[in-house]
Amino acid sequence: MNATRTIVRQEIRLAFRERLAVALLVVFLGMTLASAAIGWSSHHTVMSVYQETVLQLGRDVPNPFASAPALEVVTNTIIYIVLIGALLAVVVGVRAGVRDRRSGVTDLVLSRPIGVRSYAAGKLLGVQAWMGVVLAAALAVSWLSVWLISRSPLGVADTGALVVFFALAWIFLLPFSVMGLIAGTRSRHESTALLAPLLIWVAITFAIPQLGTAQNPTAMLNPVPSAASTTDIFFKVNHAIFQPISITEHFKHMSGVIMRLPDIASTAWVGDVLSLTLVAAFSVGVLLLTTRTSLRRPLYE
Amino acid sequence: MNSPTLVFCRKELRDAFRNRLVLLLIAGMSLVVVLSVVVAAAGFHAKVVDYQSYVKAMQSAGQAENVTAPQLFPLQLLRGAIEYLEIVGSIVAIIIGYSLTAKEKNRGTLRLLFSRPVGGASMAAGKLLSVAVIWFAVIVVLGAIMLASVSLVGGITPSSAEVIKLVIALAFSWMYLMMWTAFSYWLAGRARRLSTALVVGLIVWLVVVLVIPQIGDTMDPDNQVPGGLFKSLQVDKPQEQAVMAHFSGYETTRNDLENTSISKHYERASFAYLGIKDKYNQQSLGLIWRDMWANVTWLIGGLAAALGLAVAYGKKRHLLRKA
Repeated sequence: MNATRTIVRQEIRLAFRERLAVALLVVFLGMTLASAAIGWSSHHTVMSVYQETVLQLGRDVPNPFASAPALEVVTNTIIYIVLIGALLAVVVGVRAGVRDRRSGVTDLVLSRPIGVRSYAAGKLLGVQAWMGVVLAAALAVSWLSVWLISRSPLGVADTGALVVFFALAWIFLLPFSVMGLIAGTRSRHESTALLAPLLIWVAITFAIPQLGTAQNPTAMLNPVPSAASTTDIFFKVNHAIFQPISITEHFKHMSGVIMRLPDIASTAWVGDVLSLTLVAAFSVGVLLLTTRTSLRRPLYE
Repeated sequence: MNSPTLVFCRKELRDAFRNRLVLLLIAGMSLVVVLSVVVAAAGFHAKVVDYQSYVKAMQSAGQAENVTAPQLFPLQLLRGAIEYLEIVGSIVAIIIGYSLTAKEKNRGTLRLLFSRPVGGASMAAGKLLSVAVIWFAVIVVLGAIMLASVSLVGGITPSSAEVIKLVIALAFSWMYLMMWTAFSYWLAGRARRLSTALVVGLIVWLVVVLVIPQIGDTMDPDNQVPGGLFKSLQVDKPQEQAVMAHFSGYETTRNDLENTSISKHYERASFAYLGIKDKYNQQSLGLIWRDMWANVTWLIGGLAAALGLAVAYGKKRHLLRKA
């Protein structure tokens, strides 16, 4: 346990020194802030359009934004976690995997009485602890933005919802960190290590959901998940096969439920939690299967 | 005919056929493009089935049906294919452009190459020429698959006008992919560390291809309410335009933001020529050109700029800088 803790501490220290990881952190926090600004601007415009319609056309229709939830202005953060958060997790994971191997530290560490599992678990916990810091900073930025926009602090329930949302994001990003770590410890070149998880991310985010929903790829950039096409047997079968591994769609749906977004068709969330947890657990399992030989491969080549 | 440029071009073409990663990436991209046509066709089939069951239900209830039957415009089935070229194609192009320089740096062959009377510009021109040939071949094959797919699925042979429009859209795709390849080649040559070049390329891809268009869509007031804002306010198109005339500043900002993304220009031009945007469906080439020339100019400008950077900065002194 002590060895794992030492590795975790070392990983966090190194992540803060990694210029690229810090640059991505700045981009991510910047986009979280931008998400609130865009949300506010769109919300403000829709309200003005509504008032203009009522004034100009004399329409007696209910305000479509009257019952919008408080967290509605930060909806875009969902999609930035899927896009930028996942890339950040992959880059940090790859760097953590490549760093020790390149400097020969892996061989040195494994020459001590430390199990491979403790080493891999320490690396993963270190990467995920750093991702936790990133998400906690994003949570603070989101909370403050909503406060500034609505000119009143979020209530306990909404604050709780925001905390749950970022906790869910942490679980969602875990398989991407693991993919980065595995690719980083196995690929000969850092660039190949970056490419493999990235291509899997493209498949999970765009191709797999499309097979079950008939939606076009850019529709996957909508923070609200695409509804399954239920009429055609082709989509029914695909949806049944691919839905469990469509983790981006599960994450978007569960986030919508947490934020109480009006566009969410169903508020059932058990399937989402189950899918995200199972995929995260499976990826951790695969990482823990790493053997001493594979980690020390350069020694035998 | 043995100028260094052509020698590099031939060598790169030979290498590309031996490089499993490049072949795999191109095959994967082609697979998702074809798959998207199949999904679009199945989606259209689902619409027809829905319509037929609606008609049946109305007839058995003794009422007249007042919904028009879904009409198949074969080129509209290519929307997903174009979007995949826009998203996945650009990332494959970045990887290919990056690998053109990365392999020389990783193998340490750059010093050897520059010990001969070879200029960086000839090398860049030769390598990019080979990629131009590869992308041309890929686009031709994809175009043939697209035509065959829409004909088989729709049971309609596209007219000559539709084939011309498809060829124009494919030419845009070639320019778009070449632009990303040249941009990535330039980045890999400029960066001291190869992995930094790749990550910077991916960040630019993320922002230009995904984030900016997504922000533009989010800022569209009509997208703010499920089912559409104006539909929920019971406002028709002319009334919508009258209301939105009061928000021209907001709409201009939104449009300007979208204009900063070259992917959006590629998408707009391709969607217009393929008739995916209803306004341009079944319209003449002249009318579409009148509306789309600015987007096409952006695309050509982007390609010229990327090629210029790749050739101008692909010099010996840039490429041989130490990390």
